[in-house]
Amino acid sequence: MMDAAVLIALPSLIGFSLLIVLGFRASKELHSSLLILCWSLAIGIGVSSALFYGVSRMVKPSAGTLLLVEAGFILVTVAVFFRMRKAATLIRFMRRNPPFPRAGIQPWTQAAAAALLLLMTAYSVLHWLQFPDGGWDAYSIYNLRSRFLFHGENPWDAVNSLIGYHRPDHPPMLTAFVARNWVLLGEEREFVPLMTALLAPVLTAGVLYSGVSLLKNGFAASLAVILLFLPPPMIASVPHLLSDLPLALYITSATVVFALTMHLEEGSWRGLCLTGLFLGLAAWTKAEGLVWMISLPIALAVTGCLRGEVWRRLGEAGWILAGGVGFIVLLAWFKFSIPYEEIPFLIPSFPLNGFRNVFDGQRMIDLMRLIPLELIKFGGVYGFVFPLFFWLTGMRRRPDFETFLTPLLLTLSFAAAAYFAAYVVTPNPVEIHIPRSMDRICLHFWPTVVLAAMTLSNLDSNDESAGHPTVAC
Amino acid sequence: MEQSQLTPERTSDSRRMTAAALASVLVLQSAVGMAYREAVQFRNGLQRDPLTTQRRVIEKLITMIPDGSVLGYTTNPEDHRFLAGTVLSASWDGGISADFTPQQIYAIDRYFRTQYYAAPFRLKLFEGETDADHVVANFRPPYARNPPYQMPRLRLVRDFGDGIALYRRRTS
Repeated sequence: MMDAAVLIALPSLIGFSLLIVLGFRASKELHSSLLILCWSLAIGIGVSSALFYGVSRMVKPSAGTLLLVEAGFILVTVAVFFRMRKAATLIRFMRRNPPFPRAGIQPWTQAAAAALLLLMTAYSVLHWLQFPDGGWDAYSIYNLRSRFLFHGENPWDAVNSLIGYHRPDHPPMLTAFVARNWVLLGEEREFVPLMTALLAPVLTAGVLYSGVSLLKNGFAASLAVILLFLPPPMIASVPHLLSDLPLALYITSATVVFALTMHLEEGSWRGLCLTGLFLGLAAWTKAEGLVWMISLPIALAVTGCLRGEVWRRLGEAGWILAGGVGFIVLLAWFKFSIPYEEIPFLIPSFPLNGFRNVFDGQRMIDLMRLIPLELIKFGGVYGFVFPLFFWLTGMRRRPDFETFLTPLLLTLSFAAAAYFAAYVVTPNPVEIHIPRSMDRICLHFWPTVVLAAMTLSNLDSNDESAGHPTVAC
Repeated sequence: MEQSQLTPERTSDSRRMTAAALASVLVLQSAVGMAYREAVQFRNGLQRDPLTTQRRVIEKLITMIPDGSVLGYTTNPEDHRFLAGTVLSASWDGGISADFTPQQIYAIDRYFRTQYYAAPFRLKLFEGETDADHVVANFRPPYARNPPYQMPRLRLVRDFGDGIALYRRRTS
């Protein structure tokens, strides 16, 4: 009970209070409430890790101090809410599409989606019981640093004294959240990293389900969850306890709130700020999050140039950057507080001479050869199901989706280009680096790819009203 | 409102039902297979991580060491030499090279895992006179069952079993 309160209830309250202040409310529809619940916990995990980071930079954190700080944060946001409540324009995302006409099949697809979540949990727990330390990066980087934060007297000095292979410079979201839970629980509970890892795909599925349900219908939403778990690494990587799945959660949350804001709220600044907040959380979770933080505003600017509405799109991009700036400042504080000269053998992720690799023809050929192979491996034995599914359902571009679909597809392209550039300049041999990392990188993209594909799918009602915003439920 | 079509005709309901059924059945089948294989491995105890049993041993070991921040580390001599050339070498890029033998990968894993269990002590590969007084050893066979009483500049303090031993630096 105490564990659930610390791990779920308190972060949910923190996230919920922030959503309330931003003016977000659930409508009477179930998927709208589910979306607010998932976002609350997702935001709460990131914010509570940031609060832990702030506290631990100043004093050795104790349960009492942390509770005081977290309760104080909730009280401040509640006070702001009461001060602003009359002026606030509320955002309640409501579905405008008619439900899918063959309603009889929907419970079956929903049951299949729920069964997938249960199977993922069963697989993860069984694997974790055999490998409780998780994958290599979990025990050599993330949870190792959590142990230093929990057991050490001068937590960040201790982390900074680690040798470079333990990457004391990696963004500390996961590390700080796990340590925060141990401090609040008063002991190092081994299940905390697993629970954190399990929450990420469950919340990703919840956000994707709610998002697609609001954009299309419940039938398409449950199919989106099923397709989310199509690649085996979506399940297999959970017990490795890495930061890629929380990163995927924040990227998915950002793209879903962006799509809903552009489609249902005509680019409301509150929705765009929330998009930025999620992208800031992504950067706080893993360095790749910065790529997405930059890609989406650039994609908006490019869309504006293409359609002759540059200033409007630049304004929207500005709101996104404004929403994420808090976590970017926090990340800068973290990065600039690291005494790099005292860390033995810290390998730079992008050495300056790495740009010479651009002229290394063989490296380019190897990248072009290996990346498609690893993409096929990511899809697994049933990878063919994804194209087959959309061939069967048919696809069409709805004009009312254009406000978010073009920027979203451009964001995916820019992010993919940035990841490719990173592969080019990093010093690791591609034969080792690509097979080791492609699965994890695909996890960042996959939920957004599913979201974009589902919005293109022909899974609307076949009647004439399909694709038109006719009914505000 | 005009709709741009990627597929020219409206999709029939039967095709959409087929797509839904196909995706549901195959993805479920894949997930059931993964969970089932894991359950079988768990039941048979085939895959259990052998190093995790060292956790309690190392956590007990570090309670015997006076407060300090650095703890020496050693292992079988050939693994020790290999680690000195990789994990503690600035030239190592952090990647597992295709040239590494399973024994060498096991040596790296033991080092990282010992560091994980020994936190908040920071491990430092024992190199001689200037190192920490106490040194933890994580051996593989043949030393795992019977740790040597003396190693270069080290004297055995206690054999904790499971390949873990505590050494102390010899002053003379």
